[in-house]
Amino acid sequence: MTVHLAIAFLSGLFLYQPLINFGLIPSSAEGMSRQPYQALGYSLAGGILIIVFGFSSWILHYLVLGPLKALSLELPLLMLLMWGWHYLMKRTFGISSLVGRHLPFYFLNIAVLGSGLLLIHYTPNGILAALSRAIGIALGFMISNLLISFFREKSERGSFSRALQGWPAYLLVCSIFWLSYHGISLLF
Amino acid sequence: MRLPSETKQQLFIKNLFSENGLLFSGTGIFLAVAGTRTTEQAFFLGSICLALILVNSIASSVAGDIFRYRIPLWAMALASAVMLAIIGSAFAARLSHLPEHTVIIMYLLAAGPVVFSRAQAFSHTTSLGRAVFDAAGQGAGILLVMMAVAFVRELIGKGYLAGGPLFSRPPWPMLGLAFGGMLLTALAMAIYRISAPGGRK
Repeated sequence: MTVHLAIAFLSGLFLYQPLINFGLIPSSAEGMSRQPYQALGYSLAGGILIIVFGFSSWILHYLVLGPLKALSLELPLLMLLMWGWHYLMKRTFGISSLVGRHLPFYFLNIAVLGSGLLLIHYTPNGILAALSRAIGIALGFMISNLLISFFREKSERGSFSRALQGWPAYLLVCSIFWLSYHGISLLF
Repeated sequence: MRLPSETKQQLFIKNLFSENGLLFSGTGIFLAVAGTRTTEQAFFLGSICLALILVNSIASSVAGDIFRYRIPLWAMALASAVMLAIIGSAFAARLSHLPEHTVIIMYLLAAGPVVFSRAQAFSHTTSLGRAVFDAAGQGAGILLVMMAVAFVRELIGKGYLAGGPLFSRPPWPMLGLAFGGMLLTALAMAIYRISAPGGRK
């Protein structure tokens, strides 16, 4: 059982996070990963939201909509669920805390929605495995953003020409991180 | 930037080339990175993106022009989610033949700023005709970039041209993976910045 959960966690960390799974990077992360401190708040807010949203979307899919045969309603309900968690987090953290300041970026966020959808489509083996994988995905998202921000802070301004600064440099850095994650994911 | 003096055709051309949403500001960049494994996938996702941009812009323009009402973002996102769920059901058989993750990437359009940006920023303050041309230019521009990225990925990453094998072995299989999507999108943006007269330098 412990091994099963550990594999679910590690595969979430290295295999199922949106960056590695299909190169998915949220638009807001480009602006938020230029400095590590900014990236920390952004990643924490996203990580917490990914855990709570991902896990609750798994419950919604497998324990509510699946048995009711109402999976066609899933996407609109997932959007409502994401906004519900977003509102709750805003109430919990306020708007001036490190996490709260970055919550507006998550009102509509493809990384959070993508994590929930990945969890639904690739974790059919039990509620604890889903929770474990959701934590892994969130941790992977946070680590990726922080590593990318460290790299960009040191390298982007000096090392890239003006034509490559911003989005192109961000994509190039993400592609390098994707390669390293992909190497590790081949172990699974 | 859009000027009131610009004609519909100018709006369309501007969004298609000189201020292409994807290359100029990175709008919808996840589509170019994740949704371009094959030209078929790129065409499918790009067409749906174009349709959603058009529908949202038309709705926003009608609401703004006739009712003097600005549709809130959450309502637009929810309506887009409902439309995507319907599209997902209608095209279920076709989606099963497209590469893995296509359904997920399509569903992500509900949370992507790409389908709301023109409706929220421009369409609600202008006439229906201008909104349609502006949205069509934006959507077609994104579709064109996606098709170009997918064409190169398919050709070099898989060795395929127009759906059939061209090379006995793919020249660089890595381009067929997500790595290729990121690399080629970055390359497309860099080329655009260097070459487009109105592009960002």
